[in-house]
Amino acid sequence: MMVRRAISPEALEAAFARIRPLILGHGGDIEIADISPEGVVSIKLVGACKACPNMAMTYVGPIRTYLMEVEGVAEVRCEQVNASIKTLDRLARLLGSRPLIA
Amino acid sequence: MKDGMFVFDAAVHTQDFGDNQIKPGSDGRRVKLLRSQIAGFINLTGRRGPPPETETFSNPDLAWGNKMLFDNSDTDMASACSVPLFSHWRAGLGPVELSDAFAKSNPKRVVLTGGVDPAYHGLDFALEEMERQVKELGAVSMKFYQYQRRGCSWRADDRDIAYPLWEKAIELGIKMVQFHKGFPLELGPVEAFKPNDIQYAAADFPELNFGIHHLGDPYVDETISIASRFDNIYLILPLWFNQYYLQPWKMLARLGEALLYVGADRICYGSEAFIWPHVQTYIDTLANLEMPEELQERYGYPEITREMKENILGKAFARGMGIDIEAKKIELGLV
Repeated sequence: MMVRRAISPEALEAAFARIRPLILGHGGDIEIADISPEGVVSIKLVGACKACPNMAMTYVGPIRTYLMEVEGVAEVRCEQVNASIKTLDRLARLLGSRPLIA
Repeated sequence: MKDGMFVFDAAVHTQDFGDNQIKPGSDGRRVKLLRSQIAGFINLTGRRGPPPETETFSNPDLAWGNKMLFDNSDTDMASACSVPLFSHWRAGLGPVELSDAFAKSNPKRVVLTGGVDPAYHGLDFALEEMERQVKELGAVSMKFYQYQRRGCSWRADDRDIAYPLWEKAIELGIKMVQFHKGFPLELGPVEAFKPNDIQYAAADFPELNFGIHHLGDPYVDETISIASRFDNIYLILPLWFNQYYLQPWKMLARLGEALLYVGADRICYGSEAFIWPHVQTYIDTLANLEMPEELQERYGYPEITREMKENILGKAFARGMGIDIEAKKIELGLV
């Protein structure tokens, strides 16, 4: 059985330190909504980013890419992103980030 | 209930297009024009299923209306929605008293949405009338039609004309105010119905919800963009359903756009009954709706899930109106 390692708060904070300036630069910000025991990090976009037409790119690009590199993070979710999973997967592959569909 | 989903129709009208509505001194052109427009629209987009026994979109019989909504369809609740277009109409296109009569004919299932016009009647009268409609008639929401004639129109972000209405609405316990946006109902200019004026109002009154009807068509992109920025703006779909049968691909794209940028928790079903009385057609359409793969692939629209359908069919509007849907289910013996 695979044992999932706990998410290091320091590593998570370091990832957010990389992401946040990109978000702040667009008049938005990012918050952690939840971290599940299974390692799913749910985030929430606020400010200008919460209604940005390009929110899906922000999520799949910088946010998910950086956070998925943090040990123990199994997935990153953002309830505000309503794009289809296929679209998100297409974006991820386009950006060279981790695919959403295996 | 449709397959276990609560159905709350946000827009049922008891409108009166009769010649009796022609205002004294008016040539009646606008009343007759709108009557023929609606009849033409029905013929173009609504003729599915058996034809109605009578021409039903004007001054419908209330018992018949209840039968069509609650016996012949899966509708659980409805908002009797007034249309305060007064300028050329004796009692307003959708008279509040007719809406009230319909609400009172089935008070457990029908709520009253009243209507006033601060530019046409004056602000003081509009405020008094709002209070009367809420306290005496039991109105739970207000609908606004913001253009009456040249020189008689108003904006929702007008601090002098409109903001007192929103303050009064909050004082009266109203959770949602609603707006006709987009296609004018008679000869008025379409730009009078742009959704843009809702922005400051929604920003300045975050405790009040603002419902925009008809996706603001033809200002659909603006409407969706504006709603995406304000959590207290709700999109109320009527005419989407009516147009779906004429232009399914275009309407799916519109719904997809709204789902992508606003989300199903602020998209609300409405039938515009009794333009077409067989509303089960609309309910079945939504319950069975799927987002085509091509639209998902090319535009990024989400699949339409059961949770989305539940929201659109009833949950979203109930939430926006401050109505406890679970308590209603118990009251109506649905659970």
